[in-house]
Amino acid sequence: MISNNTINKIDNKFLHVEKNSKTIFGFWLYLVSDCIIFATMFAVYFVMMHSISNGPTGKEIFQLSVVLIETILLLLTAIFSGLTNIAVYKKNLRCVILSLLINFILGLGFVSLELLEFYHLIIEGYSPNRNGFLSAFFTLIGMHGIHIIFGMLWIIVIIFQTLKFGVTEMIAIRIKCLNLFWHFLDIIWMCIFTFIYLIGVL
Amino acid sequence: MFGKLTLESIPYNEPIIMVTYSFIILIMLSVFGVIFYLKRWQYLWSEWITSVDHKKIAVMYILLAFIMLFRGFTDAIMMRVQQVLASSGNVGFLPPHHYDQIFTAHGVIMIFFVAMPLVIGFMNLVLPLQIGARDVAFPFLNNLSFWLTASAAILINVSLGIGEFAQTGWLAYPPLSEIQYSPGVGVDYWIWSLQLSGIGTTLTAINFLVTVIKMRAPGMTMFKMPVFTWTSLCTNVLILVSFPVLTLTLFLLTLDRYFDFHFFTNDFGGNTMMYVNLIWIWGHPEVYILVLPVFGIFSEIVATFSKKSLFGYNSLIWATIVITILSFIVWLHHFFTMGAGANVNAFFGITTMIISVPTGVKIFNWLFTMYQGRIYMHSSMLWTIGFLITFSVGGMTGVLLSLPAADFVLHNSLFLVAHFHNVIIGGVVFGCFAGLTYWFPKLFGFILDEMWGKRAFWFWVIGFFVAFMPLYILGFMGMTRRLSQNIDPEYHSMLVIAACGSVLIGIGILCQIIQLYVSIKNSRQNIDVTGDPWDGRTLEWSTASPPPVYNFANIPIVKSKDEFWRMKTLQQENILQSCIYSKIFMPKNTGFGFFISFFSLLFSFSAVWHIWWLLLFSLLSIIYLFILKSFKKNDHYIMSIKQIKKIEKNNKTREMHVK
Amino acid sequence: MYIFNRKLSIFRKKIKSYLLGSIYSSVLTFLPFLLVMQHIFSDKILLFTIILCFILNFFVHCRYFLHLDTSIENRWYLTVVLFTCTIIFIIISGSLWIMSNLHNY
Repeated sequence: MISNNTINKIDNKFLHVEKNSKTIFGFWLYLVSDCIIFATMFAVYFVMMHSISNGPTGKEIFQLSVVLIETILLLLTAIFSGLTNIAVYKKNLRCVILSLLINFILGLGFVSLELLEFYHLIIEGYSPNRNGFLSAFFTLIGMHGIHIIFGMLWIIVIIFQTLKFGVTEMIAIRIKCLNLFWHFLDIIWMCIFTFIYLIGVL
Repeated sequence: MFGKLTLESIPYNEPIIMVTYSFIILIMLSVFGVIFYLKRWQYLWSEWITSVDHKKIAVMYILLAFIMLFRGFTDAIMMRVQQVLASSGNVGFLPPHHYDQIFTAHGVIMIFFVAMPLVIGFMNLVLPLQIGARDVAFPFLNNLSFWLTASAAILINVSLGIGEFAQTGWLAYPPLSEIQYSPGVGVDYWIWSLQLSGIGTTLTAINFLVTVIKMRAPGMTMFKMPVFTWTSLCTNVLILVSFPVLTLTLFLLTLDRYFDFHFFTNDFGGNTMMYVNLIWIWGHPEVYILVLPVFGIFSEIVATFSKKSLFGYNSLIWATIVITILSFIVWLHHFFTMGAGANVNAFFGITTMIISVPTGVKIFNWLFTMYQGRIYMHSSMLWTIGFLITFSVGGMTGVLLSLPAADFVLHNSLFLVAHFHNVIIGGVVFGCFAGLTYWFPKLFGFILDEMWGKRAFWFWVIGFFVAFMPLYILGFMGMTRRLSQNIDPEYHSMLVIAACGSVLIGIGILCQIIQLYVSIKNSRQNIDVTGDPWDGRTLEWSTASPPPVYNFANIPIVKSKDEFWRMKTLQQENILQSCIYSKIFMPKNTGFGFFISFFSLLFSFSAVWHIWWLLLFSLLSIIYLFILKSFKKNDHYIMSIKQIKKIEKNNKTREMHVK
Repeated sequence: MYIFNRKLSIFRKKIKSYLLGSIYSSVLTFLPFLLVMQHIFSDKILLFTIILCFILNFFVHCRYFLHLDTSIENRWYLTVVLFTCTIIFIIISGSLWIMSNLHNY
């Protein structure tokens, strides 16, 4: 016979975040505005990708192998974001912190690879000051990279908050927003590697 | 140490600016002096600056708008005078580089710091009350948005005395706004004040959207919402989706100016026309953002003062939704002459013509509401009728301009200037004044003086027609916009009439100031005791004037549109006044919004002047403050049942005395 | 016990969703890379395949990672996403049409 106490303990094992939450819906709307910023940047890129003046074209400077690694890293962040959500649902503090840390490291790897790519381009003289295409390229990839850096900062803050407050509802909502953010960044990267790199190399 | 900032940045050799600025500083010092004398700093800080109450934030927005209206209107008078002088063989008193800053500042101030704050202020005030909510979804964000807008306004006022402002027109087209042709700090001031206020506005949009979608009173389905709520919903959708385009475009211009990128430069693959394209993708929804809430205000006023429910509620809502969607496919009509082919121009010309149809539907709805209603000619109603006539004229000239062939002749002439002032003044400004008169009692507890309100209206409407009808004629005669020197004397007589019109408008503004003064003086005789001075139809009139901080002691359960009217008809208002209360959780006041905005102002100022250490410090401070705020846990306080009972009893006693 | 079982089944559903989503999106990500890097087909077919993979990948992300479906609690989220996609389509296609049209005269 299961007593009331046991049922309460079992209930405490799961933390269900209401999708109705105002914060999550508000964050979703913020992501809409961020999507529009990226979409407009894509429009700028498409208009300017042939404005090469006397500079290089995309085909000459894109390195697909590096892009592939970056893509794998971001896909893994999407997967680990899902795992974080599940860990939160099970109120498992260690799993939450661990998966967040893994995402941080993946993000760090991604940003480092991108910075390396930029560095190599700039020392070869292919800086954003060279032509319109490069301005657009650096800005689009750079904007995405800055968002990743903010995501990493956010992870650090949330890790400290989770350690301080435990896996409460407030923390769960914030982690949900953070994971939405990482999924959004992965989707934007999908657009980038499809329309910028893969199609640019054809 | 201070980047490009030196003592020479203060324009000592421009007497007009020096006098104006000394005047501004004098007024500021006097205001501070009064506050010091009355020892009200603590009160200001705890009751207003840190307030997260949507009603107080609304007051601050509207106050900001009126303060900036003075500067914008002064710019207008200076331009009119200069043009009168320049068209009569005189050199005038404004050299071109100064005049150019004036028309740029006039546009930026009127749109971003008068019209937008007014509209957002009204949405702040009325939206939660109309949907039966206690506050907006994110009260802290509301406070932050206001202070970001205020910081942007401060930045633009700093540009008057330290450095210069942009000389490029209010949209700063490249290549003129690129670093090569505008090497000074003017365009940078322009960029950063727009960025700051743009971010504030986008946050407001997120706030209001979540409020309307998630916080309506139980029973209020979408099609039972008041029309003003609907138009606010559509406005915020427009803001959410169009302001990011502005943010990005300004960011790209910043990259061009600061880091020698080539988005909009003339050389190295830049595409200046892309800027025009992008800025108007934002710019067109922007004008609908300004006008849609005003359509909502008029809908409320017309229904209340015709004592009839709004004619064609459903068609009004659908017209609003259609306008929201269509406003995204007309933007090219702002640059028909930029060189696109006939098919592109024709497409956008047709869509522009189509978008006038739902607006026409609305006008007919309002007219049919008035038909056979018992119309009470309150000054709000006067503003409405003034709007109906003025806005229709402006709309019709808009349809004329929507023909690409006609636009080729009239683009950038005074005809265009007259058209957009026609719709903005006739629409947005009249609407905000109507709304102010209508909702002032709700906000402050006493009614505005009617006599001076009516006088203000007549001066404004006659002044408007005298000031802007000549501009239509001048446009047909071929006068270009933004002229300040050696103007063809043929235009002189019309320009004189226009200047007289602007003086009449000035008298109208004076009447409004007097109206405020007289109303405050006579406030005791004009107290709004019942909370329902106009026999209103929507839920905001069911609260006391001013409403208690929690708006509704008991959230109403809504059964139909015009819920308050239904309750009054069935004499069921006392349901709202049931004496069974429960604890209410209210958000605490917070100073974080103010400080984050202060550091944003510092960030922008250091960005303008290239003071890199200050820039980094401000950025880190902003991030630090956000992180600090996120660690705070108890940001709510509880209103006990005893407190609520006391407040409700007080409000009921006042009502009893009148009855 | 009923509550426990229900929450456990939600838990299992979530894990299944993320697992399936990971597999599908990995395939849809690696496939275009493989095809382009080895340059297996002609340009036109590659273009079509890459874009198709992208669209499917996007749907996989929305359905399995973001849990967007037509249930009532997700109604507003779906509406917002559809509206955003419409606006993005207008901005990008409108800009491309206008800017390319400027070059032809």
